[in-house]
Amino acid sequence: MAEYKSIGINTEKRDAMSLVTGQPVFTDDIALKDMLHIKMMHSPYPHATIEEINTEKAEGYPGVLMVLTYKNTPRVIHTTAGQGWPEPSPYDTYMFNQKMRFVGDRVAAVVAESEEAACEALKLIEVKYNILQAVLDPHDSMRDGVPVIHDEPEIKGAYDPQHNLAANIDIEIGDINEELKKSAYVIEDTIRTQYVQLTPIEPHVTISYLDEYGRIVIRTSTQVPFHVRRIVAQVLDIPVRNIRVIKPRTGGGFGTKQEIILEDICAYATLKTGRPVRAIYTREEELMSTRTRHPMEISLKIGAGEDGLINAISMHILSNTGAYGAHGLTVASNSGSKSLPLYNKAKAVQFRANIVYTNLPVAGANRGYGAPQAYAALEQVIDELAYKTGIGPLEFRKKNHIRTGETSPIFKALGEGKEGVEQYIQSCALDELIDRGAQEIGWYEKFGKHIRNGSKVRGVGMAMLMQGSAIPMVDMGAATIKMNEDGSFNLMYGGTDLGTGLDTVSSQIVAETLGVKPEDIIVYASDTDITPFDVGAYASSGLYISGSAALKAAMAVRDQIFEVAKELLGEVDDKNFILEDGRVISKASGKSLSLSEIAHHTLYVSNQHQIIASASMVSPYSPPPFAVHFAEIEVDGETGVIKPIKYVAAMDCGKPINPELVKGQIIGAVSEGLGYALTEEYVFDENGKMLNGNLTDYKIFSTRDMPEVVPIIVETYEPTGPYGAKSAAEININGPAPAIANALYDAIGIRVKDFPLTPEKVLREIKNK
Amino acid sequence: MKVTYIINGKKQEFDISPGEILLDLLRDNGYMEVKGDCYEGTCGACTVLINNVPYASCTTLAAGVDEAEITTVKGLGDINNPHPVQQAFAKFGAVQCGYCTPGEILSAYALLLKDPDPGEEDIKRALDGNLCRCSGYMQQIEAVKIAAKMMREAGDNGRV
Amino acid sequence: MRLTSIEQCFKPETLSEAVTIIRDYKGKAAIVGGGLNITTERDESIKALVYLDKIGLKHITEDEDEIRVGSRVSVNEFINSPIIEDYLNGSVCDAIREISSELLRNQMTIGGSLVKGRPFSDIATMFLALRAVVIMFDGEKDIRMSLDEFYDSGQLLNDMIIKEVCLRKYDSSHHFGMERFTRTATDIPLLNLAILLKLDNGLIEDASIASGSLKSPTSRFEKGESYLKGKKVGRETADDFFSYVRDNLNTLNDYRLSSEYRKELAGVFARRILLGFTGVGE
Repeated sequence: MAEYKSIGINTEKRDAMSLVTGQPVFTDDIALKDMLHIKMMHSPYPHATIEEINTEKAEGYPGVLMVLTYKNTPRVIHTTAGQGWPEPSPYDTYMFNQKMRFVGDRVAAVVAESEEAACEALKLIEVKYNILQAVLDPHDSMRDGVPVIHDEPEIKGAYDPQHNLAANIDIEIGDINEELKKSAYVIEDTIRTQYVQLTPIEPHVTISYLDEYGRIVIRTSTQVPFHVRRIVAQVLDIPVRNIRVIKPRTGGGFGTKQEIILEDICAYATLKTGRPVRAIYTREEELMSTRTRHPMEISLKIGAGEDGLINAISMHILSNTGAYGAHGLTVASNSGSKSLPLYNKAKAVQFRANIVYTNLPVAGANRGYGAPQAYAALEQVIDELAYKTGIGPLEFRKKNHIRTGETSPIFKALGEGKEGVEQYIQSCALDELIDRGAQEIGWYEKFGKHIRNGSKVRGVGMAMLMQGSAIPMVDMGAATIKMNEDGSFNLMYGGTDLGTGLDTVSSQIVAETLGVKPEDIIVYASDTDITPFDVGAYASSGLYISGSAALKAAMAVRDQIFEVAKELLGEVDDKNFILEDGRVISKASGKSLSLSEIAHHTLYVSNQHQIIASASMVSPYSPPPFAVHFAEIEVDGETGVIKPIKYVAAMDCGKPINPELVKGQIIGAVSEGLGYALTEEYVFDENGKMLNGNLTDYKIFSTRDMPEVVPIIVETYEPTGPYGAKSAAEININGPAPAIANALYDAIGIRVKDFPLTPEKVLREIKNK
Repeated sequence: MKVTYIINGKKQEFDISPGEILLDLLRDNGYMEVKGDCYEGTCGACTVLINNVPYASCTTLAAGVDEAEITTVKGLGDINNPHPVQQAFAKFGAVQCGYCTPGEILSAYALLLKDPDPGEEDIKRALDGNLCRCSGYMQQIEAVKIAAKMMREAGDNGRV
Repeated sequence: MRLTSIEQCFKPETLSEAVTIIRDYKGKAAIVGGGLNITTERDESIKALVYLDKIGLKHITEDEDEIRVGSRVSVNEFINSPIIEDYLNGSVCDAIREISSELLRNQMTIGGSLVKGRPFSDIATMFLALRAVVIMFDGEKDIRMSLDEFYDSGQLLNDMIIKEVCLRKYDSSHHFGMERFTRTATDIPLLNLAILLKLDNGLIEDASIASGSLKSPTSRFEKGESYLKGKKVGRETADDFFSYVRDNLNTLNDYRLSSEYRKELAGVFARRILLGFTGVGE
């Protein structure tokens, strides 16, 4: 393999020094003169219509410019899901509406000179609600006679709104009943997952203002600048050209910032007042009113033959999308498409999902995107089957997992809300991941040993995982690279770095291709006026799509450099050059020129032109990264408390472009996954109001909660990826829930089929045993 | 009412309202390196040092710390002369989105002022109020150990 | 956002002045300890804040009989005090070393924790079990009252200021233990239980037990105290006491934990603390 200078290197994150020294680089770190502030009023009822709303007193409060409600804002039905066009999510949302569909739905927004005035004015808005019966249990949603949540005629793209069914999936490959019947071993189980959110520490925040041409500039903490531009244009009914979206540094996204939450209202207020406007959500609003992970009930039936090979998998999902259907269809699709191909020996696969509306908080995109729910169930049932066949968890998975050169019919059958794309696996290190992970956790010394210390028992568990790298034939990203006379290059692309380090790895890719250092690449990203289009950061697409676009643009720039070098060095062949250490070198003559000389020549001397190229990337494949996770836990048999002791996450993400950043992706995802497994959940009262809408009561992991985490990167080469890379961002959030659950079973022989695995539930199961 | 602080070594006077929160006061006056979020002291993004002790500025009343020395992450070092803790965070993968970073660096710095050679548990305890969703904390804990070593070797609080 | 209801700040030089202010405000003035209760609760009826930083109350001192802790001492200052480190063989320090988070351990004060009993009721539970004495200042003189009396009295906080908390110096026949349940390491306690025993040759001569949980005020478990008296520490008593606590302790039922689970936990905690004393003091 080639010897790389910038690939596989721990380049310091390009923005790290700014971040550690506190430079004002986030959305809210600027304060514009005469900036107005928005505060939102939310529905206190889960299901209601506004009978009367009186904003007069609020409008009269000193410092208040306007109060926005359904009465004075455009009524355009749309989806807040920041997806590519045409969106696979139903159009079921308005900027403001007369109908309230969950506690936390938008009632009104006050625009005022100060946050304080806005807050005071909120208290003066008088609303009379007509309270409707609420649907709070997803099992009830589709029943006859249940209130219809989306009863407005404009709704578009929902499967059967009259039965509160936002979306539906039904796929069958082979004859599932027949194959189950033939199976010597069958396990059937149902697992439930809960409402959670990944709580980026920076909340949603948007600042909008008019530029010198009277266009609206939206500076916002988003994962999808170009989708923000398109959707705001749609909602405000103004042309896309009148909007510029800029994403500064973003304080984490994890999916919740794929959604258009504040941008439309902020922009509308700027449009109406002509003034800069700022909107920021509180932590309570973040939890209650932004987007959450779809809670699911997953019923599995898996059959295996005498030989221990899986014959049939049936996965049925009841997914609760809450009050609006954003990402409802695609998240559930992903539950199947990102998990079932792992076990591609199955002759029959059935995948069914009902995605239902309820009067609860809105679900949406969240890191993992349906896969964490699926794996929470699938990898427990696979474990049960591994026990039942007597083969054991490791060997059973080794027998059944997908391999290089193989495919799964699921790839084609199940795409993002539509048919998918056939693909064959070109890189897969699952066996090595299993072996190395098992060794690191001490599997053979610990599994089945129930090592006891007083009331506490140790257990180990594992889970096998995959994800994808972008949405094939849907996600597109583009990049432009231009050359400067000091031999540096501007990389301008739509890639959207949320803190993951995408800008850094993209600069490494470009630097490698152009024979310069990553520092020689000046990255400017995510500005709809200046950078080319990119769908944004989701679906593990950053490196694979945006990074590949940067690579392709760099290759085009390289060709232009060679063309000039050929001319200047009097060579015949413009292919016979290499780029190294800032020079272009002729392989034929050994003669060379510095890139600075090349650039000076093209900009100032002769045949003057700008060396610049653009390229786009859309992929026919979505190569899965693979991972195998191992957890060691200690469970207290008297209290039910599960303490994670050690966690091993072994991953094959192709070629790791920046191993230190890959490690960060692994450990970060594991910590979020551990919260999902053990402590995080929304709790609602009988009216669907969230009771724990703050970080005091919504429990995420701190330093002291973390077990020892050992990331293991097993390098492979993915021929379709930039320098052999696949995605690394999402996959590792899928593992902790099943790995911990399986470790619990190993320790004390119980399963809690309802996440999170809280001590109270664990103890209840211990007592029921 | 008037309060006086020494912020990052510079004396500053402010006219505040009696119910002013320190975080708001700092950000309103341009100290954008202090991030805000939860207003309940649980996330730690707003951490500042008050007389070298880390506090959540979102639950600190501005009037209550009159005459205090306040340190933000900018008080430790700047882009041309970063403090060892800042260097170690930048170099060893401890920064992802960077939103919690100023607070973490300050908590780590305060620990190292008291204890130049802290163990893993001490570091975890010192940083337990600074929530981070990106990193899973491991690389930050490593960075603190590396910074501690750099500071011990450099002497004088790590400043060269 | 600022606390909009606050109209005035006072920084009295003496406690008498401070008492005068809170009396004048008739419940509408609040003493600022660490400020955590005030900034998080945002009680709009509060119009004035009274800071005691000019008065001090940051001391931890000891004499032959007791340790006196100023009400403005922060939890971290308390934990890190050499006097407390040695107190009851370090068991007190150990019990609360890891409560909450570093930022809040720096901010929350002993006085503030006792006054509210929430959100950090570990301090209240511990001090109740230790039979701490509170010294209140009524404008003219100090009034000593036990923490029980302090809680029973409806706290009298509109008239008096909590000045110090006194911990008795217990001899080597006394043993202290505390257990707590949290969802994550830095969580508010959902249940805690603290026990102080006086042992004579393995026999329980005297017992002091307190338990609390979020939003249910910490209180003494007097029935449990009488139950233990005269029993011998050991596995049998510990097991019996597990059932006794589970069946007799009143616990909160909320969305975080059911009262059944809290009862069970309290039983487990009681047994663990007692087992921890087994073999000592014999």
